[in-house]
Amino acid sequence: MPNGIVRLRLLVFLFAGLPLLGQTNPRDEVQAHYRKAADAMRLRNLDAAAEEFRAMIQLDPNLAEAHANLGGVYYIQHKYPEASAEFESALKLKPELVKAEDLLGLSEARSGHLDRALPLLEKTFGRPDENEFRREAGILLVDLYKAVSKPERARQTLDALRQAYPANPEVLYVAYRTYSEMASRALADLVHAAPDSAHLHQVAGELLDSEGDFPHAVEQYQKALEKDPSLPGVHRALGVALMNSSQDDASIENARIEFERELGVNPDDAHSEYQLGEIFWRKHDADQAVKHYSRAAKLRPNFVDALVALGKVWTFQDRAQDAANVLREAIKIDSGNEVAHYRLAQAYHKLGQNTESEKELAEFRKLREASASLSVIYQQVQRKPITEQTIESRD
Amino acid sequence: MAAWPALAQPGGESQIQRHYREAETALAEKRLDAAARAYEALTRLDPKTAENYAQLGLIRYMQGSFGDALPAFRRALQLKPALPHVDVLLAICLSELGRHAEAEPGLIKGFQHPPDEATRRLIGLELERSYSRRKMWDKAAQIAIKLSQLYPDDPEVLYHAGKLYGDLAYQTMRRLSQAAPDSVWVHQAAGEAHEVQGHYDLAIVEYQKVLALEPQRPGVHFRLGRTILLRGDATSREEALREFEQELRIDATNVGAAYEIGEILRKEGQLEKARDSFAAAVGRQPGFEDARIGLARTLIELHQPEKALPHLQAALQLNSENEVSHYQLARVYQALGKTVEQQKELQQFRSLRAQKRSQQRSLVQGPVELDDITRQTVESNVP
Repeated sequence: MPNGIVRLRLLVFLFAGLPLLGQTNPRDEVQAHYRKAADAMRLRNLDAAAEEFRAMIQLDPNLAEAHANLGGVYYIQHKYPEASAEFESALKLKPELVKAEDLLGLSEARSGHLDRALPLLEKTFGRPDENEFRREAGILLVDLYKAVSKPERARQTLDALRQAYPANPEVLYVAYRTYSEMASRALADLVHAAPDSAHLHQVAGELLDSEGDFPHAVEQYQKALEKDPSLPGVHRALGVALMNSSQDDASIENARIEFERELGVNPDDAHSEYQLGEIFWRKHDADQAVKHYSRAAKLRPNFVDALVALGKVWTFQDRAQDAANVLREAIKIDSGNEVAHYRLAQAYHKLGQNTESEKELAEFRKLREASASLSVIYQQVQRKPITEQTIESRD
Repeated sequence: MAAWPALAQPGGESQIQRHYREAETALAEKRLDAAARAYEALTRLDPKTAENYAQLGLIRYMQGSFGDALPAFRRALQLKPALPHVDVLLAICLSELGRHAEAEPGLIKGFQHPPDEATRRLIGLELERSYSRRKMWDKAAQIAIKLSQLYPDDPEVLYHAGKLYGDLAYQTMRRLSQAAPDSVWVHQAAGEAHEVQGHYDLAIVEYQKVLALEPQRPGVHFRLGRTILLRGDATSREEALREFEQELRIDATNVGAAYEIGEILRKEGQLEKARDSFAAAVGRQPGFEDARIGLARTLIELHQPEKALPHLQAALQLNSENEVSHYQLARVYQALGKTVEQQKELQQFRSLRAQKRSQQRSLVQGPVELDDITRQTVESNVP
């Protein structure tokens, strides 16, 4: 995961380390090459810059900074083994060249020399003061720890990176990739450890669910329950998949039975209570819906969908003030929930608070736009344990 | 909960003893409702005995009635704070009821000093879930990693870990989309997500967006080449080859690109060129298993089995369970006239293949699991 921005910046620092050169004849020649190299760098002509640094080294092989700078150029050119060799030469001549040591670690990591890279990267990442290579070293360290099966160290490094650079896109990308890989590995391990287990059928059901293949998801959940009828959450998941696969009365009734079964296994399952609320709402029995949604919200504090559902029904029942209160609570918990903003807009509208209503609608539109592309792309990781609150098409 | 140690029962009056007997019988027959009724009667008759409340709480817990278990455990602890394990059970109930902040101290204590391994596992799963619900992702991941280390083959542990990491990936992607909506990182991540879901045309568009923003960005031409290959059009190989070559111009150390070039050329019968590409990949990264296999099978085709042999041996040292390595090694031994060794490798190959087929890999692909390279496979006509 190379980083071009860092690499273009690093040379400035390495140049700053170049000692003042004397005025005697061969030294003049070295100085001239140095100036040409600096000009070439300014013009981003890396080949020419490398040529000048090589000429400097030929004139004076003990010039540590020239080796370091040549290594820097090679690094930008992705010639990592060559870069490593130059940084090593520089450090032999001048061990105090900290940046050359940092870059040696980065080059070794990018060359795939994990053993050599690890201590150097740890040193760079552990330096107390901020430096331009710390982030890059941290990112490479995460990959390296994963490669040597040290997931806890990878996680710790990722945490430290996220704390130090909370909004840095590259760090967020690395975190995303890391978690995705960890998820894949856990599931692969599950396949390996228990190829016909209830949990494997459960996870297969969830993946099919997230792909929208509800009939096959139903099959997988049923297989999971054959293996373990009391596996928590599976009756509920089956019920949700049944509701999603068909809207006919028989499917909804079967779904209701599954939610009841889930509550039989796990009487405090807020999600199943919520799903029962959904079924009664669809049957236009608002009172029963409120009863189940309320119990769900009581069972699980911060259950946003249950609060949003209550807001929806209370607005319908002309209890707009109650609805507004519960929807504000939902937004307090999850300010990015577009449906909560939409329902609150409806409640405000009913209360005649049109300015507030418009404000909520604007927020809803903004959130919906932002989430639309994301939801299409990341269907697979968006598992839906419940029927989420949505805006009906007629809305 | 069968593993939970039985709580001590005190003595008492004859009516009390009758209820104890009823409770014991009901428990032995797994009639939890009757057992609960007996203990409820005991708490009324003997309200100062902590163990009665603890036992009632335990039965309610076993019934999944965490709301009812909670007051019983609380009362038990009021009467006898040192009653073993009750604080942990109380914490689990709180967690089950979604009262995660209240549950946390008890769960942490229980996880650090568990009464037994089964309880430690249970508390760990509860703690992981509790942190997830509170969106304390880092702590949840910490527990998930710990549990995976303690119980590496436990389906429930692996299932919850997979779910947690999937959620984390999604949360992070959401944050990235908000922080830098049009950055190369968002487009790259989107490209990878599309690629893994088989939406190759969409993935190609995203990778092209990355290159429009940063044409020299290492790794992207490689990904683009991989996606074009996966799309599998008539011109795919040619187009992909161009992308891999472009990648090597940007980053000469990209062994994946060198390998893919070798693989395309091998399949097109350009064996000398394929050999050179594979050799370059192996030279840069000696532990690159598939490149070793690709090089070996190219050398076999070039009638140089003796040169192929060390590469397959190296590949098997890296991964002894790769059926393809065993199959190619059998071919080498056949070419070298070593029939016994050939048969041994073929047997190994068949056993590994049967094992692999029994696993439901196709059903469970992780949320984002990119295939980094074209994996070496055995030809489709091999039985």
